[in-house]
Amino acid sequence: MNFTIPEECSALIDALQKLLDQETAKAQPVDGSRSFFSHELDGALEESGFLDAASLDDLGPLAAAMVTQEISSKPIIVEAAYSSFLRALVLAEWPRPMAVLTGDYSQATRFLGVAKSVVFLGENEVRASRVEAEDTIPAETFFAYPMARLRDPAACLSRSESVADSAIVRRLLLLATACELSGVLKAALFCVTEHVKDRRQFGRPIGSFQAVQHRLAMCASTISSGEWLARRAAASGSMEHAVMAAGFLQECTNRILYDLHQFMGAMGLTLEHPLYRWSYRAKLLVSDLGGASRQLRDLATITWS
Amino acid sequence: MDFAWSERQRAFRSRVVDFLKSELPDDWSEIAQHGPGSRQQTEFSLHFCPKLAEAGLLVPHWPKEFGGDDASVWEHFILGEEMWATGEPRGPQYMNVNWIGPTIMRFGSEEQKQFHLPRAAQGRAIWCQGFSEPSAGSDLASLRTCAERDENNFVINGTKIWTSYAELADHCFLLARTSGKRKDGICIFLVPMDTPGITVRSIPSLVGEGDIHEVFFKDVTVPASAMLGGEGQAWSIITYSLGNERVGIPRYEFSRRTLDTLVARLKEEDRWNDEYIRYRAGQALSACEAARLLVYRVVDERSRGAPPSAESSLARFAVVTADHAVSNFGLEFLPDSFSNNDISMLKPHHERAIASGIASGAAEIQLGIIAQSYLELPRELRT
Repeated sequence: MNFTIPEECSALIDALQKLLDQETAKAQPVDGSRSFFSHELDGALEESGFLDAASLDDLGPLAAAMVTQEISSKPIIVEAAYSSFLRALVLAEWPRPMAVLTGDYSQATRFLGVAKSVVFLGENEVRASRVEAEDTIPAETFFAYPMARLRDPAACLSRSESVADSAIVRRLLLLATACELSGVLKAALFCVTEHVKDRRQFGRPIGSFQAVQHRLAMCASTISSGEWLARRAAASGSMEHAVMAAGFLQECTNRILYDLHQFMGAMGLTLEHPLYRWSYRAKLLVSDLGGASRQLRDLATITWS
Repeated sequence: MDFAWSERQRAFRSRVVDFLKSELPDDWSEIAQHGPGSRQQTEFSLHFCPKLAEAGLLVPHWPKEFGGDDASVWEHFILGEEMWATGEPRGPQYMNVNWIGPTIMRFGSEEQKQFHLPRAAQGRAIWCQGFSEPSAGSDLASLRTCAERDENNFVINGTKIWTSYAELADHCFLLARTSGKRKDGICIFLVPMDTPGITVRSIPSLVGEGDIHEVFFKDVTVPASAMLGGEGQAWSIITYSLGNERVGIPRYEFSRRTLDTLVARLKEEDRWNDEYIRYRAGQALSACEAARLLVYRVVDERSRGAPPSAESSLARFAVVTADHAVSNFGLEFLPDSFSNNDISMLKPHHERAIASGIASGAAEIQLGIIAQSYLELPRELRT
């Protein structure tokens, strides 16, 4: 039992942080848009190989987990989680960015409008198809991700190929969700923490009030739990750990987001403050793959079968 | 990074499990109903702990010079997991092995070490912890029990409350003030509980027998040699002791095993197909495993010699959440078992769980530590 982060991972994350800082500084948000996908950063990440960490012998899925958590912590959106796990480990030949559809293939899904591949996850089968922008219709940007739906799902499905084992893909997608969600929530927490240190009411920083401190502290403990459940799931390769990590994070997200938005007050309801870039990603991630409802029931079934 | 146990660690756990299987009597679960502070469990510990000591499993993590085997921090923790999850057959003596003994080792005089450590290492010592007072709980620095110097002695007057194990303890690890206000001037005294002037009153409670007492000190005279460490040094000593104790009890392991038992019963009753029950079971399970991981991070820090950090506080809150999740799961879906007592360890688990946010210091203090040390929020103004 050893929780020391391997040197290779630390070095990888240090290098990643430098790239993220450079590209984040250059990126400009689109006025009035909740979604801010950076093609430049997305391309830079692909070119630099950070998204391939899971497949490299000296790095592996734990490194991919930390890469995904780090990238997700930025207020600039790229397709990293699917590429870091699904593409790196089972779909290396497929172009990215990637989008994933489960259940109803006519629904809007994130990254589809910028994706080069779409993965269809059924209960017993996984298929993939190459896509271009003309295959998709942009959807309303309610969430902070670029969303789109397939113009003709049946046509896209008919030209798709069977690609991988559905259980393996499901596990990797759960990992992707858990890692992305833990990174998003942690960043949101620290963003709000900075605000409550500065924002003064009643003669002092609102972060000095015990009620605020305690609720943020509870968020911190919960998010730290999720972060490590996700890392353990990546390292172990176990389905039980993957459903546990995703389910735990999905179940706690709404409580955490409530507190974070409460402490931002009205400023957090504007698009001028970046909190929404994390909270409105988290609000979509809670429903991934059936949400906490599916994950926690599956967890119980797997553990006590 | 490695989330798996080593072969050595697995072998150590097997050794502990085998010992428990062979040495716990058939009626252990009945004894355990009473709680670690009860007369039943305390007396049991006085037979059981010497056997543990003989098997090298009471204080394996202590240095060899004090009766231990220099075992690793991880092995100490594995031992604690198996003991606590079985209902803690060490009774109140778990405190000796976890923190009282190590504190005396580090800060005690030679005389104190020679007297107390062998007794603890042999499983023959019952301690109580004289910290909280009626007006000094979370705000321990405001304690008022005083110790006045009288030539080569100190005369102690005051009242302690919420004192676990006091009725049957041989010694009290007592905080008393010799001077000053707040943290300055607080000292630690190792007080024999049969010293004239000490009165113990048991307080009936929800958390098991022998767990809560009031202890009155009226003109209790102890030699100056009963002081542990220097005068006024208590705060730094207990910061060291409690820093390690904050995650000292592996509560998540007891919670996890209790949850396993509850699920087994629900299956027997053919209720496992209820989707909501499975959802809640998954929720409680993930809370237990989250707590485990955060506690293991703290143990990992400790094993590398790092000082206690805010990670302990993050872990503590996760543990409290897990304990309540499992207890509430039991209450909601198997309430009759609390009345029938037909699931062994269910009531003891509940009693430990409801105390987990309060015993060893209120969880709210930990939230304050997280806020200030981990989130770096400004301190709240005090009036």
